[in-house]
Amino acid sequence: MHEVIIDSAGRIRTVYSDAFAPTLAKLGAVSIARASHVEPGPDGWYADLSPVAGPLLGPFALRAEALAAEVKWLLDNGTPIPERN
Amino acid sequence: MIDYGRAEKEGSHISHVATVDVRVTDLEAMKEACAALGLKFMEGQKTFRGYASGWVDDSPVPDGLFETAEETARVRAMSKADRIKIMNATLSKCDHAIRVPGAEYEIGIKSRGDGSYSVSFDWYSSGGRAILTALGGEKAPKLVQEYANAKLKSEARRYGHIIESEERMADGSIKLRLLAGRY
Repeated sequence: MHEVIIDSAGRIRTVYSDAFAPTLAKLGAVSIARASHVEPGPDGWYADLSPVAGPLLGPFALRAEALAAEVKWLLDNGTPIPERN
Repeated sequence: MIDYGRAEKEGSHISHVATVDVRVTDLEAMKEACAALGLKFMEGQKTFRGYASGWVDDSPVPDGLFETAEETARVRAMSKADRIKIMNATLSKCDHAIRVPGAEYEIGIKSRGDGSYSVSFDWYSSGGRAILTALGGEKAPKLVQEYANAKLKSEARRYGHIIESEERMADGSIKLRLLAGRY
């Protein structure tokens, strides 16, 4: 299942997916920005959600678990827009 | 043929957020947006009512109204009678219009010439207050939001996706849940 949010100002935001990229492109100018960094640490995998002012999740035994936790956090928190550097 | 497993498989390697600045390009979606807000889309109406159509030349010709600074300067230098004539003609022109129940003025939909449309209305004077309320602000956020909703669903179906649900959230946003089809 893929979630898309249209906010009260009419802006669209969603976790990027190849499947829906052509659909989004029909709506206007699409910007894509990294939402997190999933990296190994000394005791497992971490999902660093600081690009969206989120927490550091982990450690996870598997990279896939860190990635899944990252996506779940994004969806649970309304798919926040990454801050621009 | 719909691959119901695709969305889950993609979920294992995504870490980016996509945002879209919506541009109005689809009049059918705009008609749906109007219907959702209780507005009446007037297809092919070439002028729209507003304070501008009663330009009395008691304020300066604004910058950016005409395509070039030279054209703006030319209009500013005209006689008052000629300026009133051209200002009324310019400010009230549109390709389509939208009527808001209870509003004295109307909304103009103008082609930008690149396949997109602008939304113009007079929100400053009393005749436009009902429009401002109906559209949610000077940038017409409610109209843009409903347009985006209609256009997104239309394009998603065109690409074979399924609209699983649509939820109106407490913060005023709309959440769509889509199931990936072919693409």
